[in-house]
Amino acid sequence: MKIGFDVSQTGKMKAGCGFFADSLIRNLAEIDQKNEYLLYPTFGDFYWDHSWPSGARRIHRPNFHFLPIHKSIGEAKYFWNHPPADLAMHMGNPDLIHANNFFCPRRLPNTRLVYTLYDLSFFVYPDWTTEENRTGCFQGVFNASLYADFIISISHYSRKHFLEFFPHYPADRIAVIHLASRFSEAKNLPQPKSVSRLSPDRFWLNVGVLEPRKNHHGLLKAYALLKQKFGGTFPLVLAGGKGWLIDNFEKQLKSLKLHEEVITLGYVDDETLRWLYQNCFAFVYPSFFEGFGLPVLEAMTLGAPVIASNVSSIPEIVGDAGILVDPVHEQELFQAMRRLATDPQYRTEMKEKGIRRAAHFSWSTTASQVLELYQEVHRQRNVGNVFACF
Amino acid sequence: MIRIAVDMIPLLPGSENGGAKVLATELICLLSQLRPDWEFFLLTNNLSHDELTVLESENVRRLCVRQISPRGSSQSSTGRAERIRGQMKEWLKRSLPTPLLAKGKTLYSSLRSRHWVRLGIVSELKADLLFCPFTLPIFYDTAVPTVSIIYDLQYHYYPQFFERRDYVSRERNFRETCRLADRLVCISHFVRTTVLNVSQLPAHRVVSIPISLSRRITKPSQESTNGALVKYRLKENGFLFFPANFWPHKNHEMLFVSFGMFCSRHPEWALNLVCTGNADTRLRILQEAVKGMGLEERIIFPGYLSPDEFAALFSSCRALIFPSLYEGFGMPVLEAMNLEKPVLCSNVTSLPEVAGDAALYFDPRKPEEILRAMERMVEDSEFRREFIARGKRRVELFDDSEKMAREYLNVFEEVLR
Repeated sequence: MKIGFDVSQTGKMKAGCGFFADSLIRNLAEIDQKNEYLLYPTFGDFYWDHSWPSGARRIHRPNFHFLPIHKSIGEAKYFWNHPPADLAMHMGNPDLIHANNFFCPRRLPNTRLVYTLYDLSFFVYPDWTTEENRTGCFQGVFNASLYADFIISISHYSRKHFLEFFPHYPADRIAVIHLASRFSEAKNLPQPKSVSRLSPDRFWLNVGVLEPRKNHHGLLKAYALLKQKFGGTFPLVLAGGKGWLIDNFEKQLKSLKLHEEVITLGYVDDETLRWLYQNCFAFVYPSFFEGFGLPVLEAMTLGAPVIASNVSSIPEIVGDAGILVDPVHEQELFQAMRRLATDPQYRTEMKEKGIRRAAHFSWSTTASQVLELYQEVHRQRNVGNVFACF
Repeated sequence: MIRIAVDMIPLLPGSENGGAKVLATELICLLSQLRPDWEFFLLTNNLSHDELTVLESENVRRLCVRQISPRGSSQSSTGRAERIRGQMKEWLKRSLPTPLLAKGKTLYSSLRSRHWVRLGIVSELKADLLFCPFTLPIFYDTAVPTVSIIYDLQYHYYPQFFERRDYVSRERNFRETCRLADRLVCISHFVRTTVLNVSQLPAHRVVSIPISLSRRITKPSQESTNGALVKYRLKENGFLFFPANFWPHKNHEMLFVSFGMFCSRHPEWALNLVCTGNADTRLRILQEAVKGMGLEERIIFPGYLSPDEFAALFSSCRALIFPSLYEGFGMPVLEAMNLEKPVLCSNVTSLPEVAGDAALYFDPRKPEEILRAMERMVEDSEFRREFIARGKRRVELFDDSEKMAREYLNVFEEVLR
């Protein structure tokens, strides 16, 4: 079987989609030497990584090939808006394509299509993204509901949400395959220079792009309460690139007089991130909406006690191994932070529970589930699919 | 005597020009009646020259100044050099960065326009003013003041909905118009605000004259209504109506998602959705989507309808639904109100300005809000009556077309002074 695999978002500045594709393809490479893989460094017409082609993941194995299709976003747009008759040939004649960046091609003759579903936050909170991104994501998910032979949903929550909006999609063609942490075992590393001013176990940590969805506002308010009640606390470290609508954040930081205690690190590399997770006092993640909530799992894997919100997919990841709070009420978040700060035994308990819980998620399991699924979808190629009626 | 040159070249047969065509023709009628002492010269293309005969009168004349070939018939006999040039152009269009391409095109067209066939038509006609109801002043003449109508700047806010070449030509047209026209007349206050934001023009050069029409669609005879309903297998009051060409910003897909949710939750209501509009590639894509959603019995695409059939279906619908993401005005909203149909529409761009308190609004990006609006309007007949009454009052604010034409005359007189 020849598998076309979208690695378009696996460049340097990767976020959710990119981490999924990157970890998945590396783990598939570990377990599969038989099938042929075509990696697409560009895929679709609305996401474009300007660092291409150096950015995207390459895998140096005999059964892996790198297939650059387009050299510029203009070329990609033109290609997908006017797909050539020999579209499949341009894509390297794969038996199956796995789309990972929200884009979904309309129809590819003789090719089965597997689509990764992340989340539908743009239906609920459209203001939390740009219109360009929103229309692209919507068009992709809409097309997937028509043309995907199989959908991999990264959480039960996203699956249920998708079926609410797209009741026509056959429920037996959408399966949940959880992500896992890319930080495997807890090896201890020296403290990276970039965070030399931090002391182990003496800072709160939040990881994620600074954007409204991640609710940094609520976090700052709860943190300010904590500072006020205790007359001081550990610094709050925010690791994540700047997203959109960032001006408000700077303003709020000023108005709450927190610019000394709040340390914004920007986008950090994996080694730094690992150290942060391993050495934080607690990981605090009051996000309003997640498709999965990968940072929460990563934090648990590396032994950080977790406080997270009780919405969307987060409860199914955390289970009882963390403190869940309503992200709308910063009072709840504050109470949870206070409890951790004042009850060392409770903190240790949360830490251990988190590590145990995280062990249920592993990339090798995920990769073998995905591979099995590819084979199943490929086997059913003659059975027809959702749009067999055309 | 004042002589006005009116550039009608972009006008095409059929509905490709959207609402601009209705406004342009109505304006010429009214302006020529209001100022019988002025002369109007309509500059036309060969395709729509005959269609415009109806506008001719004592003081309105037509001049065919441009030959264009009908869509799809060109390029069959082009030579090799021509083909290579075309390929080069395509390649450039695809690979150059958009801003650079826009600049290059502006330069190219300003060079080329000097050699335009009968470019000097404005001075040949001894015209005193050039009026461009389709925005771009191709026949710009430094000696004569120019007035252009601006419909919307959608390309600026939703570039993703345009092919690069369309984006580039819209950008160029807008920038050229800003540079050349003495007055830019916007069809709503919303459009004026966006023009000022995007262009940095001084406020006095940009005016807004909301569209008012005295002649609106009226309910045809019961007989022809019944005929249309039978033909499309629809029931009176049994369907929502969405008249719009199949352009991406009209947001058909989102409406289908909401409508699909509606149908799966309320199968007992057997509601239909009728989407009229020109048959094009997008229509085929949407039809395929509707089939894939299992809604082909529910969502009906009658294509581009004759005025009679259009009126028949419009006046028999349960409500107008208008989920557009971007409008410069939103004429169908007023047509619906005039036909005593409740209006469900988006809460963005010009629509709140036009519909006022007489529409049930929703966020066109949230399928659940669209769904709730549909449920409300179908279930609650009291609510429906209330919105119909409000609509009747609302549309009266936009029916004085003579007043609108006078405002245009004021603008003309101002620049003629």
